[in-house]
Amino acid sequence: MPKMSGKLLESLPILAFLGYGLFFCLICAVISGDARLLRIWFVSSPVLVAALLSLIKIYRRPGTGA
Amino acid sequence: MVTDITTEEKRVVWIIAAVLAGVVLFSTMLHHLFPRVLDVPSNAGLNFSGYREMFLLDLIPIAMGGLCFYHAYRTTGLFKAIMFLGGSFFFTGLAENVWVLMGRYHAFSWFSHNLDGVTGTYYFTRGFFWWGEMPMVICLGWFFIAYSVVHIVGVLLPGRSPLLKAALGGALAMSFDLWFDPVQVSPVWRSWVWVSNETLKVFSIPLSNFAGWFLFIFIFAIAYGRLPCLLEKWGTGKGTLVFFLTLLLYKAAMLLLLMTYGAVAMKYVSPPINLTLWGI
Repeated sequence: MPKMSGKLLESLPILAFLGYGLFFCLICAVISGDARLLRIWFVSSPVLVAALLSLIKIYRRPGTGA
Repeated sequence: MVTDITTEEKRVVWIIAAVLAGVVLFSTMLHHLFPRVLDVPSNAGLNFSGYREMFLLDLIPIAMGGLCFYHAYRTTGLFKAIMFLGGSFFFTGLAENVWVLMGRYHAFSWFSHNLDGVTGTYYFTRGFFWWGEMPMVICLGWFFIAYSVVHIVGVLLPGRSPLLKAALGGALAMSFDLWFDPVQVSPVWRSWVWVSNETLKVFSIPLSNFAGWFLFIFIFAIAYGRLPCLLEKWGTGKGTLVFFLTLLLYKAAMLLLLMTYGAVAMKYVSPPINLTLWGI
């Protein structure tokens, strides 16, 4: 099994969540061609902010976390 | 890394994995090859509904689910990872199937005459792999969204009470769905179709959907948080059974709650209310 840094491992669920949101919210909204669907992005801002803050917290911790 | 697994845990892992695979295989064949059995609505005119496109679209959530499962496996071990996966498939999968099929066969009026005029609930359109009458990737989505939001709350607020983490996780998941749902039901995508005439809506989507998102994540996080106590008290085999029975009980309670809400709303909320932004 490949060795993975502790920080990368800890951030995997958050990256998965953001990746899913990126495609099924943002990219799908762009493909839909309806600009209103892009304008309502802010309704999900609580979870986006929380996800980004948690990533920052993980990567600002001292040590490599490996 | 957690690697220890007992023989009994290994047996439970195999049983859950076999049930998951069996149900997916059976449902996928039933949905695509024998659509008349469950009166599957037609996908005529639906974009991205070829088998190749549906398969490719399924791969994205499968990959994301794989990342979360890998994290669960590395941090909690295979047994707990499969309990989270199997539990979320069972909890959300059965509930959504009941909801979809009750709507399809107009089975609400036995609960209350206020629901006599209900036109249905919703149905899913696109999916290569199925879990009953819902795409497998929707179940998988529940798994990794529940896993991710509770993990996010855990990173931000370590050491807080499980109840608070579950509640915040539910709130974050609901906030995600407020954008996700309008995009996915938009005319170009129509990943699922609402046929409900529920009287309270947000972005033209029934309010009960958003309440359901909060409740599913909140309740599942609490149930999963209690899993170690169940295993300690009952042992692996019985503890697993009690865990799934608890989920079944919670699910029945949720269904009852949402139907009671629907009966009250159908009777007292008139004219219907739809909270929209820019006409969405």
